[in-house]
Amino acid sequence: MVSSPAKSAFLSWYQPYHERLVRYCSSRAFGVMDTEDLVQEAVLATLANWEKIKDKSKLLSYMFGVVNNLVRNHRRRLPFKGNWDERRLEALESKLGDADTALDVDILLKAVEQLPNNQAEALRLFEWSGFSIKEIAALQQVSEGAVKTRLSRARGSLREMLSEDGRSLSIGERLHIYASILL
Amino acid sequence: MKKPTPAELQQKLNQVTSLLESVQFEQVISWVYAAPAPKAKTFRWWWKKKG
Repeated sequence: MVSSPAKSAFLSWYQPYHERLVRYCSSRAFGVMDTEDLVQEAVLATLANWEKIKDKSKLLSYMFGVVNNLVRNHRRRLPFKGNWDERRLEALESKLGDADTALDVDILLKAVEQLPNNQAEALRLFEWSGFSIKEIAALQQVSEGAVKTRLSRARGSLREMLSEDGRSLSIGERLHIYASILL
Repeated sequence: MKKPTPAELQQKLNQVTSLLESVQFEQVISWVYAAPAPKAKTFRWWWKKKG
């Protein structure tokens, strides 16, 4: 098949970010949808709008926006949230082969979802996708200091949420954690 | 559940990282080449926008 210049241009811009974007997609897709499907949808949606992206150096930010929107839309279409929670736990159990560890990771993932969006995204980008603080600062359009603060607050909140005796733990959060233990 | 230490929390985060799935770049190339060509902005589009 003959490649159009736009496709070649897209691939050359996209290639350096591929691995880290896939890891981000995988962390967002886990238990919700297939990682490969999410990457494919994100790539094709970006390609379709390639001409509209005026500043190509912002490609990565654009694609993260696309991925977040796709995951949100997909989750909105799922009929019952409870089914989705169970599916993720089942997926974790089959991957890890140990119910206790799976539950532990599941509680962690639920806690991450409860973080404010900018903190959760900074954490996913740093811990799971392998982006540097400088790169995350560029992606989130804030200073490096702000990214460090977000990461620190995210970790602090996770420690509180994952503890039973955390002083700042709200009743809602406790219920959420206990409910996940009962699953 | 006891309060996790920073090291325990880091271990849990690493556990999640080890579960992440990968997609090869070659796969992306095949999707891109199989997709219809992205539409370029046309003069007509520009003219319509200008009103």
